[in-house]
Amino acid sequence: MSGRTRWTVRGALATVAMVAALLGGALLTAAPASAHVSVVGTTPAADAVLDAAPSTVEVRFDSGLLDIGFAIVVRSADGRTVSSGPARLGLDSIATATDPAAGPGTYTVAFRVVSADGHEVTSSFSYTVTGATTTPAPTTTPLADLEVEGVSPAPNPSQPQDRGTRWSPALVLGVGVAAVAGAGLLTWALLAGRSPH
Amino acid sequence: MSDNSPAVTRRGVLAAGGAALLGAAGGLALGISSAPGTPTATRAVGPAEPASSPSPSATSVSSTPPVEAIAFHGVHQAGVATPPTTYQTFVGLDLRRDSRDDAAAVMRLVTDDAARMTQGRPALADTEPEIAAVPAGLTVTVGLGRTLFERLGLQDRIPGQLAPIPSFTTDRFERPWGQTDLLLQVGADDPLTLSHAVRMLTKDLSTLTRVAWLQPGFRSPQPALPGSHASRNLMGQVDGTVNPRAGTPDFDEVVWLPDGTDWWSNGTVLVLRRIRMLLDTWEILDRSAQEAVIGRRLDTGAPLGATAEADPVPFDGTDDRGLPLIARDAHVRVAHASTTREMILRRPYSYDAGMREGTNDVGLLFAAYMQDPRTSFVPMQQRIATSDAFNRWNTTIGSAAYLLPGGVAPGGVLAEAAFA
Repeated sequence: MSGRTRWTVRGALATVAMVAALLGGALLTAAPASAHVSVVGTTPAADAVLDAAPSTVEVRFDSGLLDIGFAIVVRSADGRTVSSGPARLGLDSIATATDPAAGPGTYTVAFRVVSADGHEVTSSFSYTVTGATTTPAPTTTPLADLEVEGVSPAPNPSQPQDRGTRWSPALVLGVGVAAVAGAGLLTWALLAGRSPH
Repeated sequence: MSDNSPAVTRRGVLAAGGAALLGAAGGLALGISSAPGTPTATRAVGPAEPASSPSPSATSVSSTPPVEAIAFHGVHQAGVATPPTTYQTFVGLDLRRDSRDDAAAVMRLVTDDAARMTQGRPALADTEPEIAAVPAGLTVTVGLGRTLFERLGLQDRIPGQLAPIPSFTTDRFERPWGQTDLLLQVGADDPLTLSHAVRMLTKDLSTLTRVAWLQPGFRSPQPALPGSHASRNLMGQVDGTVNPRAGTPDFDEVVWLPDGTDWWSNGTVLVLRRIRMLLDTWEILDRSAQEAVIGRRLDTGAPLGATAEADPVPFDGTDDRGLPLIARDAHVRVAHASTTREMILRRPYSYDAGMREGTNDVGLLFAAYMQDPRTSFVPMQQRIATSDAFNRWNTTIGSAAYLLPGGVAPGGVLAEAAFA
C-alpha cells in the first residue's frame, strides 16, 4: 500500500526531512492539514527555453494521486490548445501528449490533480519554444536539480486563486513532516475503503 | 396474530367502530379536518374523494404541525408525486406460499388498511387507534416484484418495464437487501405514525407474508436551500436538483406508465438501491476535491462554474486556465440524462443503521421512479459504474425493482387485475 506514496527524497530535501523528523510530533499536531502534495519536477522544466516543442508534458508529485478529477491542458499565449488526448495519470504524475509542431512562443501548462490524502491541487507553469529546430527534443529536469519554488504560480499573476497549492519553503517543511508521518496512514485509509475495480 | 385471516374477523367490529369514532374525535379536536363540509365517521380527516391527479393537501411547506392527510384514492398511488415525507420506511415482503389467492388477499388487506390509516382512521382491530388518528401525511404505496409473478406462474403478466435490473461492476450486494415479492413504501412526517402504520401492515400480513427487510429512511423537513426542491444527503450534497416537477408534462412522461386497463396502467417502476456511504474516506477530501467529484458546489448546489442550483451544467466549459469546469468523471456529468426518456424522479432518503465495523453505517436509500428503467436508470447506472469518481465513496449493497400499480377509486383494490 505505501508503495503508492512515492516519497523520493534527495539532496537538500533529505536534510529538510531529517530536521523535520526531529521536530516530529509537535509540528504534526500543530498543522496536520498542511500535508499538501508538492510538485517535484516537470517536463519540460518550469520556465525552460526550448529549441523545439515537446511531444509530451509531464508533472511529477511527491505523493500518490487519486484517479479522480484530474486534468492537464497546454495552451499557447493566445489561448490555442496544443495538448491532445486524455490526460495520463501515473501513480504520482500526470502527463499529456502535445503537438510537437507547435510553433515558437510561450506555453502554459495548467493541471489539476487530487492527492492521495484528498487535497485538490490546481496550478500551472510555463515554458518557451524558440523554434530554432522543429525536432522534438523534450528536456527533463533532473530531480536533484529541481527547485520546488521553480514551479511557483507567482510568474503568472493573472491567476491569483490557486486552490490548495503552496510552494513556500515553510510549507515544504510542513509537507516533509506531515507527509512522511501521515501520508502513509492516510493513503492506507483511503485505499482500504476503495472499491477494488 | 394467529387470527389474521384475510377476512374481517379480527378482534371484532366493536373495537374497530370505537376506534374509528376515536379517530374522528381526535381529528376534530385537533381541528385538522381539511375536507369541506362535516366530517363523518367514515371520512374523519382530509380529502377522501378520488383525485384525478395526485392532490397532496400539503403542497407548501408550512409551520403547522404535520397532521394532514394525503388522499389515498386517485389515478395514481400516493407517495410518488406527493411531497416526500420526512420519514419513510421501505418494507420488503415475500409470500409465504405460492398462492394467487394469498397474493390477492394481500392486496385487499393492504388497500383497506392504507385507505383507512392514511385518512386518520385506524385499521381494523387497531389496538393503538389514538396513534392512527394523526395521519401526519401518511402514504402507503404498494409495489410488486418480478419474483411474485414468477412464483405464481404468472410470468406473462410481467410488463417489459419490470425486466430484471442487470448487475453492475460496482455492485457489492449484501444480505438481506435484495429483491422481494412485494414492497410497502410507508411515509409520514411523524415517526410515531409511521412506526405504527408499519406495525399494523406487517401484523395484518403476517400469516400471508414474511418480512425480508425493513429499510427506514429520513430526510430533512427543510429543503436543501430556500426555494429548492432538493434535499441534502449525508455527504452534504444537494440531491435531486434536476428532478421533474409534479404536475408537469415532463413529470408524467418520466414517471407514469400510460393509462389503460392493465394492472400496471398509471403506475410507475421503482428502483430501490441501498448505497452505503464511506464517510471516513470521503471526509478526508478537502472541499474542492469533494466538489470536483460531484461537479457541484456543496453549499449552493450550483454546478461548478455556475452561480445557482438551477443553472445548466457547463459540461464543455473551461476555467481561465483552460481546465474543464466539470471533470470528465464528475458525478453530475456521468449521471446526466440528455433526454426526457433517460430521466428519472429521484426521491431519496438517508439511512443511519448505527455502528458497523467500527464506523457509522450510513448511506442513501436511492429511490427512483420511472416509466422504464431499461431506457433511464440502467444506462445511467452503466455510465456511473464505468466512470463515476463517486464510486470510491459509494457502495451499492442492495437493489430491487418494483412495479407500483396505478391507484384505485373507493372500493377498488390495488393491482386486482394482476391476480384475477
